[in-house]
Amino acid sequence: MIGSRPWLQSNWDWRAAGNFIFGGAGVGLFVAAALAAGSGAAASAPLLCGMGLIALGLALVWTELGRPMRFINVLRHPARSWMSREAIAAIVFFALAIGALATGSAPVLWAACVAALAFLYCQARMLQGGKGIPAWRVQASVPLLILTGLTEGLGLYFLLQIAFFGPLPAAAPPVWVLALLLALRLAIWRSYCASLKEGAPQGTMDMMAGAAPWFAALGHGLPLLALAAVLALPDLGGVLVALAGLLAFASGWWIKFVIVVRAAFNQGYAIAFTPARGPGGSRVAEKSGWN
Amino acid sequence: MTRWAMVADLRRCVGCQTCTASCKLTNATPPGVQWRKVLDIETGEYPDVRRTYVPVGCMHCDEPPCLDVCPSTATRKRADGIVTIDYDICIGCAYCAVACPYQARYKVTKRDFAYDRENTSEEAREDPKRMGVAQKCTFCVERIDFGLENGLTPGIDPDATPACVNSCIADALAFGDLDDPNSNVSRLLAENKSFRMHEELGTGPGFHYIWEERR
Repeated sequence: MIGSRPWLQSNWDWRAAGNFIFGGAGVGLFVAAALAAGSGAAASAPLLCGMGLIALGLALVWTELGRPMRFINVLRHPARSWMSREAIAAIVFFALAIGALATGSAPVLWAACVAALAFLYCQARMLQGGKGIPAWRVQASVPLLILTGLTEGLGLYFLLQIAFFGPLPAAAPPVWVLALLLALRLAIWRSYCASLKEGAPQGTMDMMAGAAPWFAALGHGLPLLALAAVLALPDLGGVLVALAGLLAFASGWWIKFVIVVRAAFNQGYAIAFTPARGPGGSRVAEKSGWN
Repeated sequence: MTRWAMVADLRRCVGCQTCTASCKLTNATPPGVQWRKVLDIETGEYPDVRRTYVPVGCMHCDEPPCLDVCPSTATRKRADGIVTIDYDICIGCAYCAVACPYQARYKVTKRDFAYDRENTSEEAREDPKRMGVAQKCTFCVERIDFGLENGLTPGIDPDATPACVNSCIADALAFGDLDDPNSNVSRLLAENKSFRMHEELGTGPGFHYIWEERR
C-alpha cells in the first residue's frame, strides 16, 4: 500500500525528549539524595543537581513551544491534560524543594520527593497520552518511564557522589537497590517490547530490534556484572559502582531518546475496504507498514 | 441535536485534488499544510493491483484525543461535533499533533508562500494568529455558522457548506447532519456500507467512507 505508511513524527524533537530524559533522571537523583540524607540534613549538592536536571528538561521543552510567551496557559487544563498536571507538579516540587533547602526541614524534603514522583508519573502518562504514536501509547510505556527515571537517578547519584562528593553516606540507598531497579527495568522493557509486537508500525519495530540488544547488554548486563563484581573485588568497589551508575543512567537516556525521537512512527492511514470500482468487487484492504 | 459529519464515497473519488486546492485557497494554508488532502493508496500486487483515492483531514471525532491532551484548553469540541482551536490561547506545544492518529494537525513557525511572495489570496486570507500554534481543518465552521444564521442548510446550500465539498467534481464528498435521519449524509450511510478510519482506536471519527452499496 503506497501513500499511507506510518512515518516518523517531527512535532516533538530532541528537545521534547530532553524533558523526559532530564526530568526523569532529575527526579530519581533528587529522591536518591533525599534518601541518602536519612534523618540528618540532606547534602545540598546532589539535590541541586536533581533540581537542575528537571529545570533543564522543562527549559528545553519551553524552547519547542510555538508561542513560548504564552507558557502560563499550560496550566489551564488540569482536569484532563497530563501536560497541565506535569506543570503543576513541577511548580509544587520546586516550591517544596527550595523550601527544604532553605529550612533543612526533613518533612518538607519528603513532601518535595512526593511532588517529584508525581511529576515523574505525570511525565509518563503524558507520553502515553500521545495516542497518535503507537510506540508511546502502549500501557507499558508508563512503568517503563517511571522505572527508568528512578534507575537513572540512582545510577547518577552513585556516580556523582563517588566521583565528586566523597564516599557514599551511611544512609545512602544500598547498592543492591540499583541492581534491583536494573532487573525490574529490564523486565518492564521486555514487557514493553512484547506489547509493541501486538501492534506497532514496522519502522518502530525495526528501530527497537536494533536498540534492544544494546540496551539489554550495556544498560543491564554490564552494570549488573559490575555490581556483582563488587563482591569479588571490594577494593575496586567505588569504581565498579560508579561504572554501573554511569551505564544505568546513560543507557536510560539513550533508550528514551530512541522511544521519543527515533522510534516515534505515527499511525499512518488505513482503509478497511477498497471500493467496488472497475474490474472485480470490493475487498478487505491490508494495513501497510505494520508488523 | 446536530452532529455535523462528512461522507466520502470512495467509489466516486478520482483523486483530482480539487478539494485540496479549494481548501488551500479558502483557508490560505502555507506550502506543506493541507487541511484537506487526498491520498493515493495502492493495494495488492501485480497483476491484481487497486488504487483508491482517500480524502483525509481532521475527523472531528466524538472522542478527540487532541481535546484531552491540550494543556491550554485551546482545543474544544462544539455541541454540534466540530472540533475547534482557539488560536489566541494555544501555546504551540504540538501535544495535540502527536495525540491525533490521523496526522491532521500542523504547526507552522515561519511565514511561507506558494510562490516567491504573497499572492492575492494569501494576502486577503492569511491569518497571522495561526503562526506558531496548532491548525487543522475546521469543517469551514465560519461558513456553517454564517449559513445557519441566514437560514441556509449546511451540506445543501453552497454558502453554508465546506469548501472542499462544494468543489468536488465527482460528488464524492457530502456534508450534513448525522442526527437528522433525512439528511443527505444519513441517507448515504443508510443506503451504503461504510467504515471510519482507525475505528479500533475508539475515537469515533465524524468522517465516513462509503465503499459498497448496501443490498
